[in-house]
Amino acid sequence: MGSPKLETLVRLLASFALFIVLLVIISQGAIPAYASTKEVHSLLKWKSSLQDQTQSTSSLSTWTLPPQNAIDSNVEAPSPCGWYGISCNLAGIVIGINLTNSNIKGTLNEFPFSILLCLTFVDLSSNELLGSIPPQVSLLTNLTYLDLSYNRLFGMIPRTIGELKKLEVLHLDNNKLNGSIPDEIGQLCLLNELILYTNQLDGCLPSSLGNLSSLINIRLGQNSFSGSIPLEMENLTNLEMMGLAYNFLTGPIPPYFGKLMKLRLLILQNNELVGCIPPELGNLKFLRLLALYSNNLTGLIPSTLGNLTELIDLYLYANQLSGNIPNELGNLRAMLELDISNNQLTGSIPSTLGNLTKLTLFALDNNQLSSSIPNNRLDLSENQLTGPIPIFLCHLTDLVYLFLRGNQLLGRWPIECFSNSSLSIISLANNKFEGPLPLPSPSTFYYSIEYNKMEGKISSSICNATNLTFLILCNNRLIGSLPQCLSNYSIKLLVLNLATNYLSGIIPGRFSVRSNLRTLDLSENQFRGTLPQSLINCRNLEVMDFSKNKIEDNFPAWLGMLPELKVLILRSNKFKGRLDFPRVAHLFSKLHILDLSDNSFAGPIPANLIMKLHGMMSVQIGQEPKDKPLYMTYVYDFGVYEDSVKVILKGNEMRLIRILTIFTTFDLSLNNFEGNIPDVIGHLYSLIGLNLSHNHLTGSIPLALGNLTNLEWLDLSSNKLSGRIPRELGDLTFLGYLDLSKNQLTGCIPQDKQLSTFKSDSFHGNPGLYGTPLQNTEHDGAQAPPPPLLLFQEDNSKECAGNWFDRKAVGIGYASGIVIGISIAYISWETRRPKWLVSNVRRMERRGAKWMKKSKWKAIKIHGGR
Amino acid sequence: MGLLSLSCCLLAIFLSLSPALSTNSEGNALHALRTRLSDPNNVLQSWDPTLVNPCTWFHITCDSNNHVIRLDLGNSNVSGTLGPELGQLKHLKYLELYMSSLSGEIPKELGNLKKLVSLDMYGNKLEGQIPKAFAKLKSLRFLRLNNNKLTGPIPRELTALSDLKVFDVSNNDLCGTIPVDGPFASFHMESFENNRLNGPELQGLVPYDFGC
Repeated sequence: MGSPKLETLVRLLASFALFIVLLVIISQGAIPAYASTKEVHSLLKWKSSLQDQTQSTSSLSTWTLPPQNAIDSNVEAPSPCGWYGISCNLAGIVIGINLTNSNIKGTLNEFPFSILLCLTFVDLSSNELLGSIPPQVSLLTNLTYLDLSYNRLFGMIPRTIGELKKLEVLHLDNNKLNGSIPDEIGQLCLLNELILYTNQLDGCLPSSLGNLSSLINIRLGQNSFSGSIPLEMENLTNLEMMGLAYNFLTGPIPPYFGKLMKLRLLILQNNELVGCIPPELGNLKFLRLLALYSNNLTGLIPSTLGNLTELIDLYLYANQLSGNIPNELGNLRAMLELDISNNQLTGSIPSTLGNLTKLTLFALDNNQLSSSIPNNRLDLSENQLTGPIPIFLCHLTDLVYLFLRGNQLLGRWPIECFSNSSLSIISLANNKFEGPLPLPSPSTFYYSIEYNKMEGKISSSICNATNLTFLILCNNRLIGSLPQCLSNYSIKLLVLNLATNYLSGIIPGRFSVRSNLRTLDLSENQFRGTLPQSLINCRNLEVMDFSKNKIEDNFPAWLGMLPELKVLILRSNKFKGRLDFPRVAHLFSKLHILDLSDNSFAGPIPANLIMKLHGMMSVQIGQEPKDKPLYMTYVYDFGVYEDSVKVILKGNEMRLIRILTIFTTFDLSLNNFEGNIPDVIGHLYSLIGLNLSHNHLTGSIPLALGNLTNLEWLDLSSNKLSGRIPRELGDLTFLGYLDLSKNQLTGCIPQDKQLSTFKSDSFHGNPGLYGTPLQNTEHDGAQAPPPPLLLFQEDNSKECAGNWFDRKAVGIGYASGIVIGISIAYISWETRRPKWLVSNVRRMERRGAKWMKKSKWKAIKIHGGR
Repeated sequence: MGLLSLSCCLLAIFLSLSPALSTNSEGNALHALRTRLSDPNNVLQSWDPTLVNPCTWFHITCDSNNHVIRLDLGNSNVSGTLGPELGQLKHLKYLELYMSSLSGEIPKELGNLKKLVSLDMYGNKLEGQIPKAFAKLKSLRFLRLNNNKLTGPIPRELTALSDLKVFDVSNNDLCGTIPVDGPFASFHMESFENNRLNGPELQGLVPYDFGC
């Protein structure tokens, strides 16, 4: 049993020793000394033929003989294996040269083709090689990779290239090669890549290309090839990329291309190809790019292209294609760019194109698409379409619904683009359109172009659109005053939204009793003068926003007569005077957002006004009638209009994208109101925001504020309020923002429930206020200490001083606990049966604690009551 | 085991990358909370996940950078359990969930809320242990967990919370001893009453979870 094992071991050791010896020999380069010397001298000869290779900084500076004495001593035969760009096999024979981008200037005439017979890899790309490719290249029969691209080689591709039978990659692109591709290229049956683009090659494509059945990538573009695409290329079934663009190829696109099932990129643009697009191309299920533009293709766009579900870019422009755009193109959901412009396409734009939700380029222009659109509807909204306005849309006289909202489209619309159209809906919002407003047509019902860069004045011709129901022009750069007709031209108008423009002048005052206006948003403009009294005719008004203008007026109490008014925002204007109003039974009875902030209103906050605000007194949030809608919206045939306003919410200006019907705020901040905060404010039970800050209010904070349990923010800062902070504010469990700073409040800050969750900045600037959180905080280190007299007042001792007693008692309890605890530990260690004793000691401890503080100190209830 | 944990990890990554209604991670976390909770008083009806951020939702307060800094659902009658997603509200300072009907365990992921100043969960039906991960809440000043059904010991790690000013775990079912280090040196004994606690800790003599 032992001897075979030993034998194996000896054999193993012996072969290992042999291996080591061989390794040493090979590494010293002893065997190929003669061969390498020949290689060295031949390469140096080529080097000497090159320009600029004499300096020590040149790329071939390592290409030198070792010092003479080294050669004499015969220690080391010269070898090129360590030279820059040279790679050798284990035997020290050169098999690869990689001198890409190495500033090689010269010719290949002295290149040692006859010496470096073992070369498999040659990359001399991106240099300045001149002259022609020597026919001797054929001697490198082991070559698998030859890259001479990006040089200045000229002359013909040598016919002998066909002898490089092992060649897999041939890159000769970006030279000045001329002549035709030699037929012999067809002998390179292992070739994967044939890259010859950007040369001056001409003639027909050789039919022998069809032999290259291993070919994956063929790129022959930007030459001067002519004739038709050879039928034999049908055999190139491994092809993934075919690039023949920018030549003079004629004839049809061969239908057999439909058999090249692995094709991902088919690039045939800028040739002289004729005939139709073969429907067979629809079989190329991996196709990602199909570029057939700038040819002379005729006929229909095959509906089979709709099968190319991987297609990202489809360019068919600048041909003579005719007929309809096939509906099936709507299946190409991966598509980013679709350009079929400059053809003779007719008929309709398929509504299915609306499925192409990733499109960034959509070009249909310069066709004859003039007839009706199916369902008369074109919806390309919320894509990423870029580029100029598709002007052809101006000629689609039967189009009824146009949705381009939410793209990146640019440019100016012709003013009259839509004025003779049948468009009922024009939705152009959220693009990058500029220039003057295109006018809607008399049949337009909905016109929205908000969030663009529209400039200029609103023309009075807009009043010809007498069916207009929604006019939404906000967030543009419109200037000038409003045309007089705008207030009465359409009795159908429901929504007039001109917010956030540069509009100025006086708000026109001819609102008719027949008006249906529901939403009037003129906020963030430069309107002056007074509010037109004729607004009282708009009995359906629900939302009025005049914020951030320069309106000078008294409090428009008469607006209180509008029975449906729910949102009234007059923030940041020049309103003034007292909140006087007529003695009527119902006033502002549905109002739930009232914002009068940042004006010059004065006088008291009238309690009887507050008592009229029934919209702010409704039942508890969440308990309102089931049929009450959640948002202020208006549903029309093709969508929903959602009212939207900006409010100051918890100290920050925020846009309510949709207005909750339960969003109830009362904001009188930044005015000159004086007197007390009326107690009746506690009736505004649905309030979620109350801001009376920055006025001259006096008196104390009403206890009734504690009733407003829906309150999310309460700002009474910068007034002259005095007295104590009511504990009842602690019941406002939803309060997330509280500002009582800069008043004359006094006493200790109650820490009841929610009130303990606010930091010192909610309270600072009240010299008489003290207690947590004002004490011991870095912000209020300089806070005045509480007046010593107050400390001993009855009410104070309950809140602040109580802490001190407790703490002292706890300290004493602690000491006793430690002592007793130690004894328990000791005893339990001693007896290992401590239960009865432990409970006895505990009892003692409890009694002791009670004795120490009878009134306040409740002993630790150990195992208490369970 | 390794493979299992790796696949769990990958699953977690996948879930965290999967598209949600809103692109705002804080909004997503809150919306996930909403789906856990039963809301008889409809206090969460304003939580519209299609908005860009949750800053206009009721009971949410944001800072000027639109990060959620408060969640106020005290006394709101919501019930259900809390989930790990609350740990994604990285900017949260006030988490007020007191006096409702929350049940289940306190998610340890709340330990990720490094800016938390106040954590009020008193008056619920919370069970399980007080997460040791609370020791990571270095800004915490208020921690009120009283009147729940919490069990186990008070984690000693909480003694590292040097800013803690108010601590209340009374009326639970906690066991072991009461820490004496750090901020615990100054807490009311009332904060610990009605538990199964064994009095102050005796360091080195009795294990802190003595009696657990």
